[in-house]
Amino acid sequence: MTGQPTLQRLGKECLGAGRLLVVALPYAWLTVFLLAPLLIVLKISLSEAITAIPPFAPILRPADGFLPDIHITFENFALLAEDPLYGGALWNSIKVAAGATLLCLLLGYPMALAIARARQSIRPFLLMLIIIPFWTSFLIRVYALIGLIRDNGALNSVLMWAGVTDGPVAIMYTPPAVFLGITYSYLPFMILPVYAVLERQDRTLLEAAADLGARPWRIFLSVTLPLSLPGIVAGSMLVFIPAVGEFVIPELLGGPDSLMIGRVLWSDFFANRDWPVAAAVAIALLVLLVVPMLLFQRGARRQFGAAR
Amino acid sequence: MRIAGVAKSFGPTRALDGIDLDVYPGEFLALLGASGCGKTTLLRLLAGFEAPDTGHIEIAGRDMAGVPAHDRPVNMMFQSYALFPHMSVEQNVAYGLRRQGLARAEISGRVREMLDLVEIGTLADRRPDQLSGGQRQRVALARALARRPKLVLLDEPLAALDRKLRERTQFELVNIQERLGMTFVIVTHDQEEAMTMASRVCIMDEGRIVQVDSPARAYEYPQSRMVANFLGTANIFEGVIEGRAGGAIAVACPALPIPVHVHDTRAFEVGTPVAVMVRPEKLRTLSDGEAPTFNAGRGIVRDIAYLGDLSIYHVELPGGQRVQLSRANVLHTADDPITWDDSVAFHWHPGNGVLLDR
Repeated sequence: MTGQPTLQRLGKECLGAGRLLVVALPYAWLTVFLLAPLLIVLKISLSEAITAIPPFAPILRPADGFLPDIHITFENFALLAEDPLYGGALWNSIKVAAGATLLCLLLGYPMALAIARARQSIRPFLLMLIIIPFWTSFLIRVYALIGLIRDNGALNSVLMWAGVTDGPVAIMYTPPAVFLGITYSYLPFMILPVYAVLERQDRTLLEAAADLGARPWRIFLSVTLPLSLPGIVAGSMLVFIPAVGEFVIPELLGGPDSLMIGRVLWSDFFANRDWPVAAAVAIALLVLLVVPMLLFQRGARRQFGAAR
Repeated sequence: MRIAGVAKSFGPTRALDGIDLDVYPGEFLALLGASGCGKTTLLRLLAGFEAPDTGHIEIAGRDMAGVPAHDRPVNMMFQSYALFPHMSVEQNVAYGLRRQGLARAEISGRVREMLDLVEIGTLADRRPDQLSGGQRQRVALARALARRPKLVLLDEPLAALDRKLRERTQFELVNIQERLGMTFVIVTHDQEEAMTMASRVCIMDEGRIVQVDSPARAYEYPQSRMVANFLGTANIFEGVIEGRAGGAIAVACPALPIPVHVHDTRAFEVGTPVAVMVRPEKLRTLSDGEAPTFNAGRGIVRDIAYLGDLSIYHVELPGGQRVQLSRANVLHTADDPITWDDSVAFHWHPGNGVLLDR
């Protein structure tokens, strides 16, 4: 009689601890792997570059008094604003990423729609075809693309054999190659969220639209498309954000004129060993891209929420 | 509208089999049957969402073969309502009118008229997810009526409403149908709903039409056991034809001690196995002095269901068959209350029985 309530309380406490653990785990993960690195990068971006290992001056330096001196500089950020290299690279990155996102949408939406409307029995197979490329390394896929588009590659061989061109078409080391590479690599990230939304769509809505006199194209424009907007937004973000900072694809496929912000960051970091400026580029990129998108998403959600 | 010889299979399942049905202009027809009887498939064929395997469908004198859903003079109200979630009530109702290419002013006039008709004029700017189930049902109805179709198809339109609201809406639907003079075809599994609203009921079973009649005729004169059991409750006595007795046919039923007389003009050979169907409310309890020579039986009351307005008694006959008889509770307290284990004698008029094929 007396032991039972204690046992129950003990059980409840264990449950509470378990619950806490479940909640704490993701927070701990994010703290260790997202927040801490971000703060370190932020710290580096605010320090001065020196020739040392590591190549930046500490922010907190021992001083005569009890408190250490704090040395913060905004010169790195000022440099980003002054040197047209950074602005130009960023603008170029945004253009390429936006173009690739649009291309991914134009290619991916019909594919997602086709999979969502395919017979239930073959849908897993079709989805598998989209996911299979992930089974090989991203780098290997980009190299395979090189084999396809280089001057004496498969594509040019076919074109010349068919007599479309006399000499090879230069695709490698041109902006279109970067464009193609990004589109190819990120296409699944567009298809999957769009598919997820389309697959859940209520088919009777399409019948209702047809019943009310809408032709197939009109049904698509007035029902299917607007209702798949959340998938389009999610897919576009999944493609656009990493594509802006993409380093590997422009490095491997692009020529020297394919200046993208990821490459600039890389060369600042490794070639120039100017960690503070590289860190400033990373922080600026984050603020310029992610913050507006978060605001946009929140606005969109609020608008959607208000409609509820 | 005319349906002739329509059949439809989904893989090995035969959903519809040899459907012939005429629907008259301005009528309210109910397709009634248990789930899986093909009534919804028939509705979808009319709407143009499915094509029949054989047979043809004619709406307003036009053959519908190869005519896609968006070109048919038919509108449907879906069981799930299928309201467009990203559009306001007004946009939902206007959707079909926009597709007709009407002028903006005319569209808004028609939308207003429809919303007023279904009494949701104040909700025009709401979105479907801001509405209650009953309000959504009205939007769906307004949307289906807005194009003034020749034929309105309603798939279980009231199934999602609670009982009180459903009963009120039944009469409203009938009033709207009469006021607009449109032809309504409604699919339902609820026999009360069908009988309340429809001018004719079409009872379906396993992809076939078993009977098309007015609600009263279908209830009083079912042509098969399936209809007899589906519409209301039926007491069925198996028997064989004994011969004619005056204007009636005499049937010998082993479950009952005396012959059964049924008014029927058909000719039967003596010895034909048949069944006699009597509704519970047609059975009258006998007082002690009465001793009819036909259509009577006696048994023990085993169960009583008191429903307020009436009571249903389950009476067990000597052979073990149970008979249901119901009495309206006209007075607060009956003079001769029937209670459990009472022995009750009952009788019915020969005109109130129906002869069914075995």
